Amino acid sequence: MTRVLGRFWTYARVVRKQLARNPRRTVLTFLGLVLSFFLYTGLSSVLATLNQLLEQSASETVLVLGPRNDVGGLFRPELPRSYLPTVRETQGVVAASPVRVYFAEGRRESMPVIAALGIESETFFSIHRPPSVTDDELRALRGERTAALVGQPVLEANGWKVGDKITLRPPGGIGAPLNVHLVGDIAGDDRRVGAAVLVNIDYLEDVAGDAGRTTFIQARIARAEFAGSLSQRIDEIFTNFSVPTSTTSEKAHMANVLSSLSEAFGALRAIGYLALAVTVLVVGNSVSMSIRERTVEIGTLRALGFSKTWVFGMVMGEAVLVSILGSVVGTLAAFGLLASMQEGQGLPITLVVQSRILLEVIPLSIPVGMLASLQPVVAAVRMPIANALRYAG
Amino acid sequence: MIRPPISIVYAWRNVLARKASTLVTTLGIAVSVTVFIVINATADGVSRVAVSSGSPRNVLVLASGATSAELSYLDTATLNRIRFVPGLERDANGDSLASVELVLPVAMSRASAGKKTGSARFETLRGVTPQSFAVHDGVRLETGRFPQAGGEVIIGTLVAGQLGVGIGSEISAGNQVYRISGTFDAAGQVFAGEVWAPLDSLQSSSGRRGASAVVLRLPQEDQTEAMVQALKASPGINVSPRTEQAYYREIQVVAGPFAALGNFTGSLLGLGAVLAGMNTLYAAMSRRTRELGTLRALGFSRYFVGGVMLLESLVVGVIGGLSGSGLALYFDGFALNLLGLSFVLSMPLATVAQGFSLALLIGVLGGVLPAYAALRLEISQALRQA
Repeated sequence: MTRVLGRFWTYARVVRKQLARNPRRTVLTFLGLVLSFFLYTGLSSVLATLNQLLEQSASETVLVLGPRNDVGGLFRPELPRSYLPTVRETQGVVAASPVRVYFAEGRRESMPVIAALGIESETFFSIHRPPSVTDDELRALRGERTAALVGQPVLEANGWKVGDKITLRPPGGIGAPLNVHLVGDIAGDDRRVGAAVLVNIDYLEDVAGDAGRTTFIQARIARAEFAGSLSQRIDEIFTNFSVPTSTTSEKAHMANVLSSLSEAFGALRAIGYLALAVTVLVVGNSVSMSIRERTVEIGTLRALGFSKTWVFGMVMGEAVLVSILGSVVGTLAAFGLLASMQEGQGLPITLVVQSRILLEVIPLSIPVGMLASLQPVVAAVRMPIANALRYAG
Repeated sequence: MIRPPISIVYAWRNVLARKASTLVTTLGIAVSVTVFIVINATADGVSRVAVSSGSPRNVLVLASGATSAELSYLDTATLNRIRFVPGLERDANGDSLASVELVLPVAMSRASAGKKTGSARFETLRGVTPQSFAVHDGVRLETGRFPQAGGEVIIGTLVAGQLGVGIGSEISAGNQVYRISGTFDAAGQVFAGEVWAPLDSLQSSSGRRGASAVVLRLPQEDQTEAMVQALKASPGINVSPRTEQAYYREIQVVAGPFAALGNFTGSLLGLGAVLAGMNTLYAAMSRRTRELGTLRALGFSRYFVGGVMLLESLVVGVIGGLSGSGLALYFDGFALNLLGLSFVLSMPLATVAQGFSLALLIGVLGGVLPAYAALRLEISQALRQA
């Protein structure tokens, strides 16, 4: 073991000394690697952020039932609430809850539209309970018909506070207004309801009409792998009812929404891979130049008895070491930039700056270094010793 | 015959002498130029669609507080009051030109025999009447006919190309399947990325009696602002009117970050190419030190020696710039969909020229330091170099 460590240490010292022989070339190659990994890490973080948005705001264990013949319908509730017992009794369904959507104007013109969700407080929170909602707030919501929980961004944007009694008016003044009492707030980082107003569905029905109808039904299922088959079974059950259903998992629905960004995602990914591919070529070029200058030296080492494997490992080790160092610095620089952007710009989403990206990107530098140096190193060790000693450049 | 200057011939031959290194550096420059041009062209495409959409004689009326047609809803009473406001242009039958439209963003995909077959993408489904063609400048039926039955739609040429469908094909929009009865062109406007259905059929299938927006056509351009103010001041009508062009120009907000991304990415990749070029040139210089010393001894000035090194780098930059620009032009004419906005990628000459300039800059920056080092070579030391 000591002998192995000793040999490795000797080998590492040789690699370090070789890199120091032409510091300018080493620095330029290193900086090129830093830039490439900086770009790759930045792009990976952007993609990871968007994927996290999808994962946090959508689940594969929550199904969404809507009317089959409705086209993007959010304005008029059509699904009968009487479907709920049947949905709950379906094998594999753990809980089901109706959600009725009601859009309201912001407090002033030019403010964003507010999405109010009419819910059954007894069943809604068994599917998703925002961690920030306390038991007292839940009790208050259940205890008062006109009670509401509001997302913090909505509170701040409209200048409301918990305890206020407010009126939500539909856009254009079409339809009845909703008078609610704000009894609690929801943290803004809750991806599902952090920007909504939760009200009691019975009260909403009394005000807005269409009693007994809901916009969609959420159903939590026991296992995500049954999402597809359960969706199909539920739709088969209701296929001959007054309102046939179309059921999909929440994640599949969200994925459809994000598909509008799919071409942009693909482009970002392609740029990241291009940056790495160009890096491989650049490092390979640098190794080729280094080998060309040291061909006589390599021939001398071979003549002295150093094996092909040793020479191979020495040269490839230089490329891999520079690649690893470049990836560490590039990745950390990208993280630093993203963290400062998050703080300085106050972005509405949390950029993903995670150690798992570090653990994915840095090991990538090893095959990059190896691939880059493979061809020139193989060419160098295969050259006959006599030719190497005679090499004039 | 005019012979090129020795410096250019010398630089060109040296570039060719080290083919592998030249190829790598050229590739690095070409990639950064291509990325720069394509991303900037994408931002330009978004701006182009935003600027060219809408008519200067149209006023778009949404519900009060609505920031987009997708989130707007006008009931029938309001629609009837808006449609018949005085001052609108009239068609040949004497009817006011006011297009009532229902706008729904839906997931669309190809379909066959009533079932979805392809992957879904979000597009706009717009319920319109034949009057919409009179109101929207530049929108015309290209093939087929306006839908005559429920279950039929016409499709914009861009969406048709992206979904790979035509007359007689089926598409799934939301949870319904439609048959395509025709295609329409929209002269570079945002409508070319939409699917249009008969308004009454869409209202019926979506359970709505109202609509999202009304587009009013005025006889003269300079009457639009007055109409906007009149609608805002009108008692009993609670709406949000604006000129149609002003509404679509707001889409441009997406273009800014995209152009910034293009500039940033292209610059980073370009910087990498500068470092690679610098590396190559320093290595070339160290191999040719004796040769450069010989040139100095023969009488060529230090500025000549430094100049040819810079020229070599510039030649590589030119080759990389031409390659990158050529590769970027390959993407000319591609149809893209970004955030639900469909447009055709076009490479404006100005953007291509900017990309080529980036390549020249990379070439210059990559050669400056090695050229300076070559310029400072002392003849005796250079000739003694082993």
